[in-house]
Amino acid sequence: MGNVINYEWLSVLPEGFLVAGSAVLIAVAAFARSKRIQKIAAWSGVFLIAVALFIGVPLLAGSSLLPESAGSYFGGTLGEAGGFSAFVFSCALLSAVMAAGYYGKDDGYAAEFVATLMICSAALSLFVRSNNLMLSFVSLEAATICLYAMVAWNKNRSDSLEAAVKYLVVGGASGAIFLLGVAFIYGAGLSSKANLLNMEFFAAGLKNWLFIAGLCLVSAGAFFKIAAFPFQFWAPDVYQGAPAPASAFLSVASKGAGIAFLMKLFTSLGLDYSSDYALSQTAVVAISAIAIGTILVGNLGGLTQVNVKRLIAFSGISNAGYMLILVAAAVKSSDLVQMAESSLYFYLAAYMFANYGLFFVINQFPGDADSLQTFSDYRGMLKGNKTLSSTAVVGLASLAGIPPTAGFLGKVLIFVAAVYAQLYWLVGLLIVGSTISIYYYFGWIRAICDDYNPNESCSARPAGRLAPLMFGLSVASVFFGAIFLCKVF
Amino acid sequence: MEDFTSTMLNLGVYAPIIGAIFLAAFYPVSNGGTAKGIGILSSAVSLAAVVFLWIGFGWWQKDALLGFEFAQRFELMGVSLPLFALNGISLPMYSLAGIVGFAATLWAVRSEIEGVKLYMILLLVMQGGLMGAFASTNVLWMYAFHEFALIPTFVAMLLWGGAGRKNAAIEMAIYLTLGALVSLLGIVALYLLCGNTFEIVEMRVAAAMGAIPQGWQKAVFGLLLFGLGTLVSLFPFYSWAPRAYSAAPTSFAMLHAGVLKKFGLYVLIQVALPLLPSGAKDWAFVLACLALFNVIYIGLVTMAQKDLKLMVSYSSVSHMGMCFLGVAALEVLGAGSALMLMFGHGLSVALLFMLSNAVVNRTGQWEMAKMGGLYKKTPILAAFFLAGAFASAGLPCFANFWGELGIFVALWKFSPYVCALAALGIIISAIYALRAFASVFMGSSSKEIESIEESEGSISDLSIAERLPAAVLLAALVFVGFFPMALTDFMNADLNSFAVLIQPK
Repeated sequence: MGNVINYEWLSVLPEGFLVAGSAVLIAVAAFARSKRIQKIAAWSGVFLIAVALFIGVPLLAGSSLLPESAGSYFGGTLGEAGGFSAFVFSCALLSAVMAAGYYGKDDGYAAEFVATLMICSAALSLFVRSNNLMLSFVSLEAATICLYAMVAWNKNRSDSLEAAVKYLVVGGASGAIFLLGVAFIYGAGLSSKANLLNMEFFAAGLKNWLFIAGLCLVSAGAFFKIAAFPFQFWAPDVYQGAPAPASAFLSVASKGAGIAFLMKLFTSLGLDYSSDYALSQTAVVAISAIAIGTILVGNLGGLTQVNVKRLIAFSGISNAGYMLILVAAAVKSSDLVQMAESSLYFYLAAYMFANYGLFFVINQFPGDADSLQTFSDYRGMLKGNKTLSSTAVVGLASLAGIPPTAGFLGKVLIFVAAVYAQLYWLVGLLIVGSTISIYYYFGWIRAICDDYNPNESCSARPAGRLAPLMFGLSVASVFFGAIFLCKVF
Repeated sequence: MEDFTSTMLNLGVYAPIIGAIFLAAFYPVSNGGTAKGIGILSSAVSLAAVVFLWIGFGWWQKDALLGFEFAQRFELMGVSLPLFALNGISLPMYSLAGIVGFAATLWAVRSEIEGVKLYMILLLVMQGGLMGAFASTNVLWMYAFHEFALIPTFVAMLLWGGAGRKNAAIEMAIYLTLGALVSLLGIVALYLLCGNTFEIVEMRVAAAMGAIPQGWQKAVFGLLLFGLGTLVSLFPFYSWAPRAYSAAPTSFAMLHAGVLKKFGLYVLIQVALPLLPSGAKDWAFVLACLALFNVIYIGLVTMAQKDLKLMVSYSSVSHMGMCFLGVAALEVLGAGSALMLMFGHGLSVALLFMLSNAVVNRTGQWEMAKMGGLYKKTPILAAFFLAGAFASAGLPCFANFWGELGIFVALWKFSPYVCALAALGIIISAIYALRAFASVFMGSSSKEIESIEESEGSISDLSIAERLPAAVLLAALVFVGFFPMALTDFMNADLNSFAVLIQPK
């Protein structure tokens, strides 16, 4: 047996392109420190991400460049590029645009921020594409290290640094747990083949307790990433302290990566096919328990929040719980795997439009105060700023699941999957959670629609050049939801 | 002709939405006058579609799809739009949305609101959502169009509402979302049971072939009953309604209490009864008991109200109990009469909300005890109000009469005791409606009114612009009151077609 692996370098074209591009950007920004060049470098980073998103991913998804026969690349360690890469690069693009504006005014190292973001998104894309746990771990760590830097970017602000330290500790711990799980799975010795850590062999290990312990640890690492209960405590502090582009990326792309990875990991087990009914039941109960805890903690925690970034963190926790329902449904019933996966990507896209809309609004508030913004800063915004207000209202409506926004269809898809899989408790919790969440989502809308503005000075900056983008995100929320509602049902 | 009729049906739904998008897109340039003009124009197009389709219903299109007429799918840039069609059950509701929507827009035009453009946009979005909810043949789209109206109501309440609006708005949003999500669960269960379809026609075919087993019928009907019941303020989930209506700006209160609230009952009659006949039978007694609470208990609460707008709000909650009793009777006559009462009540409560707003604007008072003697100063307002009060109390000549009459006949067969208790409700509603009229319009002027007259001159009667929307609503009430066949013929045909399903063996 020859050890020749056909690497098919083309299959990592978008990620490789981003990493190479970021190296060039960093080099340019290191030697030319003039503000003008910084700005040009930052915007060319935005351009490079757009190229990776709009040219790189479609090129690979069509895969005319790659051998037809190969279902997976790099000797089976890497899956095809597709929906998830598009999702994570879109997040990177939006964050990069936000950062180029956020740091563009002063010497905030905008170019370096965008370059870090490029590496991070490439790593997250590989994390989810990977079929091999070791590659997943390495990619995850690469992404996490970039996130440490991005969270700490406002190095003169104590809350940014505090957030970074918290994230460093939590990220380090979760990485270690993940790695320990990988070691256990390797130790379980599933197969005599070269790639012991490839997910396609995992179904064979279900009788092995060492393997199952490893699986639990790997999932725990991922639960940290998505801020699922009981690993959710870091999210509000970190989201609050991090600069808006980093919080946005953390709350959407990093969370999405964790959920997509969990979906991939658990569906690879083929629990439903296995003869061991009890084991499959246990897995469903475990995921359901985590989902229930996550939904409750997220929504109940959100009730008392007035700080908008902490609110988004709690809303993100509860949304992670809703998405875990899809994972539980896919584990319980194998007919649902296809449907649950596409529903998950739809939900993530809806979540991205809504959350980025809100983060753009947060970003448009004056300067350095974004970690301290509360509802009272938003009072009466509707009178002063129509673009920002409508973006925020549409984003909040989508998070609350009001038709015709995409968030509504996302919730309907979860309903369908969960009722089909007979997970009635989870549906009940979804209803309870969504009802509770109305209080804080609509509480924010209530502040925006307030008829008087107590502190004129705190009102938002005009949307300016970002107005078309914000408008586009709202339109995407509405049309994406309406069109797919027409198409799916 | 078929093309044309279905185009009209779609136009009725999309005209207000297009009007709203147009206003929003040209927001900065258009001034208040054009905004009002566009608002009236778009809702007039809707009303024209309603009149046209009503006249033409059952006339042009003979080969209807299980009783649904004007069905034709339209495409927009390769995406097929939701399918709209009307049957004898949705026609009255679709018409109600058109008529009340037009009256609400007319009323909004004359009232002096700050930020009239946004007001118009929200009103049009709400009307479009309502027209769509009643025209859809896809249950998920019914639901989506209905929820679509939630955000406009919420924002409008916050911006232009009355006292206590902030908490009332949140309370309403929470209750309505909870009710909607519970009913969504029921709808999704129906989707899976009927072979992955939300189309009501396909669902009926599947249900007729026994796709929904006995146990599921009970569970799903229960979900729909409590979910939709919350939307219609069924006891004990009613507390949001009076507060929300009395805090909402008038046009939105008219649309919400008059039309939006009827949606839950409409879905029960259109979807739940034909698909889940044995489930309905299991729940009928519980439903009747809860509905009696609405009729009698809330009726007594209404009698105790001192505030005019709150009185009207509570009375609408109480009347919904009567509609629920019609549904609980599980009969063609009961369901049809409930529809008739929904139609009549939608018009009369909208009329009363509008007129109470006119009264409050003129007197600067909410409390009925502090008014009095308005009859001499504003005879036309008094005449309209009396007509609205009569209609609401279910006197003959108005559409409500036929609804209540039919409900009593159907209830007698269901249970004479329930019928006797429900009859108390009629007496109660006559008392509070007439007492409100007496204390506002009859007697001698109160001190407060005299002091207003001294400071601001004499109180003026309804202006022409105010009479117009009132006349539109009253005309529809009286038309159906004298000519109920205009609705009942169509209703009968459709309700009879699934009567076999309604009464299980």
